[in-house]
Amino acid sequence: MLTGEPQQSLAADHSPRPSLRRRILFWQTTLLAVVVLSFGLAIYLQQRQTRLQDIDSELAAAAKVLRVQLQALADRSAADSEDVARGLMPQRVAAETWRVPDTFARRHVRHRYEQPYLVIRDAQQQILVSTATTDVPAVDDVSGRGPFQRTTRGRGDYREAWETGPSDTLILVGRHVAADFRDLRELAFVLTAIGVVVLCLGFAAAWRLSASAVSPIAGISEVAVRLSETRLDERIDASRMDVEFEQLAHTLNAAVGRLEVAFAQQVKFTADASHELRTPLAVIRMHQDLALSKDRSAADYRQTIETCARATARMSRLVEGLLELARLDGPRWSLQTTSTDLEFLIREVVDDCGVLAAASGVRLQMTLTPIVLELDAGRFTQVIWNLLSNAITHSPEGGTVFVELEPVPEEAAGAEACGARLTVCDEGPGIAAEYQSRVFDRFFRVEQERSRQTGGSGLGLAICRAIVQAHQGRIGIRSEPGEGTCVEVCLPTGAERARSSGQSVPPGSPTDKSGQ
Amino acid sequence: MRLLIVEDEPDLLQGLTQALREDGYAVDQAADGEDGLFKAQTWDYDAVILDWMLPKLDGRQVLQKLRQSKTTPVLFLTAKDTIDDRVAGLDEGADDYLTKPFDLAEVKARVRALIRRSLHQPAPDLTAGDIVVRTAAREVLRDGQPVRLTAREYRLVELLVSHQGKVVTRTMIYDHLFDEHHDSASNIVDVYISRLRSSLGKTFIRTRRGEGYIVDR
Repeated sequence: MLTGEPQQSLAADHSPRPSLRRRILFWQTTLLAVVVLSFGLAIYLQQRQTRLQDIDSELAAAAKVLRVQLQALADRSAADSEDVARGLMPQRVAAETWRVPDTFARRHVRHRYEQPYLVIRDAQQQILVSTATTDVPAVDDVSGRGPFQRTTRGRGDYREAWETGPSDTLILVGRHVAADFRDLRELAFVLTAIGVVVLCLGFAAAWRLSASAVSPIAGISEVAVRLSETRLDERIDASRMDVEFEQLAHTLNAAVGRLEVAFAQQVKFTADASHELRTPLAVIRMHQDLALSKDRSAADYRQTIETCARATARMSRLVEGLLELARLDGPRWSLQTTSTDLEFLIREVVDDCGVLAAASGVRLQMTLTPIVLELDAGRFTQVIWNLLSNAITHSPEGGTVFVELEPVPEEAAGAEACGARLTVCDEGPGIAAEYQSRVFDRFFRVEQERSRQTGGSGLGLAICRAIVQAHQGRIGIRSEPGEGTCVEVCLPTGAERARSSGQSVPPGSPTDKSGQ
Repeated sequence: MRLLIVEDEPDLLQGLTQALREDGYAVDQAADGEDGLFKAQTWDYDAVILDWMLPKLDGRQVLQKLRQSKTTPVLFLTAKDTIDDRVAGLDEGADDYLTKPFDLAEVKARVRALIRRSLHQPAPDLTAGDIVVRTAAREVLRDGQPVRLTAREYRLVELLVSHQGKVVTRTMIYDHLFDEHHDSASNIVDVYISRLRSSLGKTFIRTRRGEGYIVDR
């Protein structure tokens, strides 16, 4: 059974830490105990009250009968004699036969002390008649009348009720009530037993309920334990969870999903990188083996070294690209933006590319609008350089590379921020539509140009994208196979300030721009 | 013995070709999948060395198409080195798998093993009468003494001995000894046979008139 184990192990580490389950259990049980106790107490007290009232009214009724008898005696005395003023004569009272009523007296008694009794006292508290077997103390306070006058009392195991008779006599009737209360004790015992059973059942229910309440947590943590960098395909099964946990499970699943994608990308990147490094390594190793397998001419050795140098150069390019991407991926990298004249930046790079273009027989044609932007000039130079060298490499001999920089009016930019647009176009073979979305992927190279003589590291455009995105910009590609390829970089308006508006060029195809 | 190397990295292709030619193999080259598949389907190579990542058709596609018609032994040579990749390559019909960067000696040994296996001759030494061909050392012994042979002469002896008891036609010899660029006189086979007879004994190779040559069991 997996309920609670992980929490317990957690709790074991830091013993005073609160446990959700324990709290649920504690409060649920406490509440139940309070309810059971108060119900039991209420029932018990109500029963006791009812019984007392029954006894009291029984005693009161008996006292009333005796009072009537005493009254009758008093009336007779008044009629017979003259001494009414002196009140009842004790002798006469004592001579009368006093008995508690039969209905009251005839109850099962086992001992003499359980016998009902009556006591009559005169105004001076002198006992006129008493059938009590024990000493019955006088009633302290009979003065005052009214609806709230107390006319009963408990005295140990006895219960007594009294009436005031003629000439301030007091008639008291009492009886032993231990037997009645014995029943009440039985009731209390039964109530306690029921209470304990209910409490136990309640505790068991609380135990199960709290277990089922926290069991999704155990399920979630169990999945989390199984998750590792090599196993991120585990998901929490939220189908049978409560809504609250379902939400949590979905959130966690989504987070793990994002992690999985990120890890998969990282793994693929590493695999691709090592794969790309293997080929030049294989070239070097094989040509070394070959050259060393027997004596060779100087020309052969020279050729081996040249081949190895080519492979080494390719490895260097790869490693540089990898390091650059690792830096861009890293957390400590931030843009060093300054207010930069983008036109000037482009001109600088174009000057540098001139030699490369001349060697390939490619013409460079620029249409530039002066724009000043907040840019990381160093990084952005790299973007321009990568785009230009790509375009030159893919241009046929005698072809032209068009470089265009223009501001984009607010209304033309549409919903997306695009203050300045840099476009680099070539007249190369173009890229098939199926590959266009993947050219910015790391190590992606369009198949036809995989011949390693012209092919670069496969990282250039990936680096461009990382830098442009860091500038909150966008980079995209348009290509028509056989016609050429255009790479478009859009930079946001935020810090854009057009230095001059006189030279702005209407947007359109790059071919109708004047050369520079 | 004639091999085909399909590899798109020019330096690797050139180096492998040179190394195997120096061992006396006739080597054809292909720089992309389409060309490689065409050549592999056209000729009966003794073995094909195939790269995985190729332009036009990748190595697996070449292998799939080739296996529809040919049983030529194929050595996959690739930078992909995960177990899944190897399993996929072998299951696609490759006979062996080697990852880049590789050792040249290992490539050669694996090619020899592939050829031995395809000829159902698992032992590295082949014997015919008093002639022993040691394929690992690429040498021929006559009465226990090494015989000096050129690389191509050695390949001819190996071809004849590995088919001993069966007639080897002149076309077969020509196809297995010379690569696609070779354009020599058609009597070149006769020239090599007579050279071998002078160094290995007149009775070693018998001529079946109109059919070809045979080395007796």
